[in-house]
Amino acid sequence: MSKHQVFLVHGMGDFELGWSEAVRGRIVGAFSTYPKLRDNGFADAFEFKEITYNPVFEGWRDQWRADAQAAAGALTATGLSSKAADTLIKGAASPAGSSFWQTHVLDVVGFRFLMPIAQTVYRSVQSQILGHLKSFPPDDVPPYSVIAHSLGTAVAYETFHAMLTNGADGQSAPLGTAFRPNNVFMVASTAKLLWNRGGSAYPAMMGPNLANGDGLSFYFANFRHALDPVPNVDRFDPPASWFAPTAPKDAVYADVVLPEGDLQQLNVHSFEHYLSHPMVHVPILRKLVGFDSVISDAELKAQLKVWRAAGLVDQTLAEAKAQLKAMLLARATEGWAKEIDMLLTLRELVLASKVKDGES
Amino acid sequence: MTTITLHPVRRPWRAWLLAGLLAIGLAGGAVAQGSCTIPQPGDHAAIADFDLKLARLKLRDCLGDRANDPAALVQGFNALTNEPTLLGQTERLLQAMDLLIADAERHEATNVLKPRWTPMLEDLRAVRAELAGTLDVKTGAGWLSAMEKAIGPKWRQVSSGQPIVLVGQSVDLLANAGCANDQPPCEAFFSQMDIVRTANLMDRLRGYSQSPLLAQQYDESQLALKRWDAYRTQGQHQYIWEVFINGQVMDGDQSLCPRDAGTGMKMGFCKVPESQWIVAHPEAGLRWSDGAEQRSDLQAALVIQLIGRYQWKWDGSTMANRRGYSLAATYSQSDTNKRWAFGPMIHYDDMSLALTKAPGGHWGLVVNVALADRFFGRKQEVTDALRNVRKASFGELLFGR
Repeated sequence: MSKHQVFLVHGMGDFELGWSEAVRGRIVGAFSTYPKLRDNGFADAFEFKEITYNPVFEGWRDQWRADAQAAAGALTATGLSSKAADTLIKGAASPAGSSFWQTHVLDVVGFRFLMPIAQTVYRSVQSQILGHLKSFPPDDVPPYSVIAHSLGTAVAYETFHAMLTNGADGQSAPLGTAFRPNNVFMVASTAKLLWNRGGSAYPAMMGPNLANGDGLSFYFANFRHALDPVPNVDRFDPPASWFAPTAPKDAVYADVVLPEGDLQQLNVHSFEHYLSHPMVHVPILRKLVGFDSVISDAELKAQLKVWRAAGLVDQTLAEAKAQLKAMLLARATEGWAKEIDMLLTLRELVLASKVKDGES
Repeated sequence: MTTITLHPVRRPWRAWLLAGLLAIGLAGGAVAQGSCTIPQPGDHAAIADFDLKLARLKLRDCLGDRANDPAALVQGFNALTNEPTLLGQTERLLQAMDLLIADAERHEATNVLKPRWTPMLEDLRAVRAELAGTLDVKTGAGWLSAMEKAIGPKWRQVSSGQPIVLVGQSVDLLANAGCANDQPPCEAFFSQMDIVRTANLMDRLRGYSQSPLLAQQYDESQLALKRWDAYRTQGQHQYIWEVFINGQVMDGDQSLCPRDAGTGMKMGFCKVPESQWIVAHPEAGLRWSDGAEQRSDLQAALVIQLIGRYQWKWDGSTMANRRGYSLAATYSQSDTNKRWAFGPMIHYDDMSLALTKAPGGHWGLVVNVALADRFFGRKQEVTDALRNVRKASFGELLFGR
């Protein structure tokens, strides 16, 4: 049978096969929270499929580690005392170390600045999506949606851009509309920050204009927390030209900002923290199901009250807000050095957090 | 996969339609697959909320689904699309359209939900006419363009909960059909399910028509992934700065990474390169020694390829004809003057050899592990082969005694 597929795309960090279990648990749990969804078996109509691109980074890291170790071994064996050679070999080994910068933030820098790595990531994601769709009978390929987080939003966005613009050399073809997503949900988006495909980060063909035979999807939603430093560095904020006249912005796009006071933990960037919030999962569920009335506004408000009751309060909330505000950079990017500093600080929060988003 | 032969009957779908209607008429009652419970004619169970019910039924795992929907129309459709289609083949597509058009004609004639069935029928006929004009399309891009024009993405909007544009007018197939809640389904609801089913079958047909390109693009992605893996592992290994430099070179080469002439935007994927620069690359080497009997007899050496180039051709997913050269600096303990030696280095497949000389010193040979292994491995093979020859003397070898 042809259930609606939901591809989950991870962000920055150490993700192995099976990483999405906790994340999908949040979404399936959300189905069970709302009576009409629960009592009419809507969850049965969906299947989740995780996309994992972390092995691309790991492959390079492992190779750098092995090669640098061999060179270091030769340095020792020859008894050479050369500062230059020593520096060179340490530089060769540095991306393969075990500090925060090397194990996680480097992925972001690698995707943005190392073309062979970015291209391999694109092809890996393309292969996983198309391979999964191809596993269905050719006359019953299911519809699908994408929920991506953090670095994963840039990975997904640029991979789809490559697929949609493929064929310029006349040797291939762009991705057919039959195999484009119904919905794209970007959580804590870095798509604008990391855009590295030239021109505007908002080409019209990537807009939610699929109903008119063009565009990436029928619907596109962007979720960020007001205090999440990552999506706030360079916000995904498409101009009017991204939307087709026949697909008005209000009907095909949502930009949801979670309020400053809505914090259940300091790791505001967490995928699970976002998905647990009713202002995130309710729009997602409504669009997946294609029936807004399946969750009433009254039910949304009731769940919001429940969520906020479990949030940080008083002094703890004030301290968390202060700590996160200190990490926010100016809206216009201040340069990569500052952004990397911010990512490093954020990684400390993530690693201290109980909620791991499925990271190893 | 079960092979089904298309019968040489002009309209085979009629037989399927009649058989299916008979079967369902005899069966009665809702048909349930999980939470996809499709009401059937004669079903007397009350439905509390028809809008909510349709919201569930419209999803692609329900109405029109290959496995979950037993409707005659779906069974007939399945039989026609059971085999993969190929580029340029429209026969199955046209037969599927004929099936759907016949069903729509039957509904339109009943006058139930006529304002929805009339534009649906007209649109289906227009799709069929468009498809019939694609017989000459032979290329992948041309086929995709023709299929997109004939069967657009709008058909998926119904399962997404949206109105659909049929022959230029917006029609909401999901708008309440007029049945009273908390009652058994009325005739209009059955008609509404059928029209949603038709839309979902059109969406399936759209995917079916484009499926050859899905397979092609998946194969392309797999080949590219294997080449990128070979680029990393079979080429001269690159450190992070080399990956950066080679990436910049690649980015500026439009034969590898095409760009839109107007915006400068990258288009599609970059091809995997067939060359790389080698820059300030430290690695372990082995200093050659005439008296060495095995690899472990060779002295360790540090090699730094200062600048070099390595090229290959792709043979499927593997690198072929790997050749390269670089300027190398080497250092080993056997260098009595303990100075760096410099000279050319050549690469042949995965083997490398540098001939270097320190100022005032002697020429020395430094090889990589792969070359050393190859040499000593072959040497051992020759030695073993000679040992296996039982003839002890030259005379015996010549005369076979």
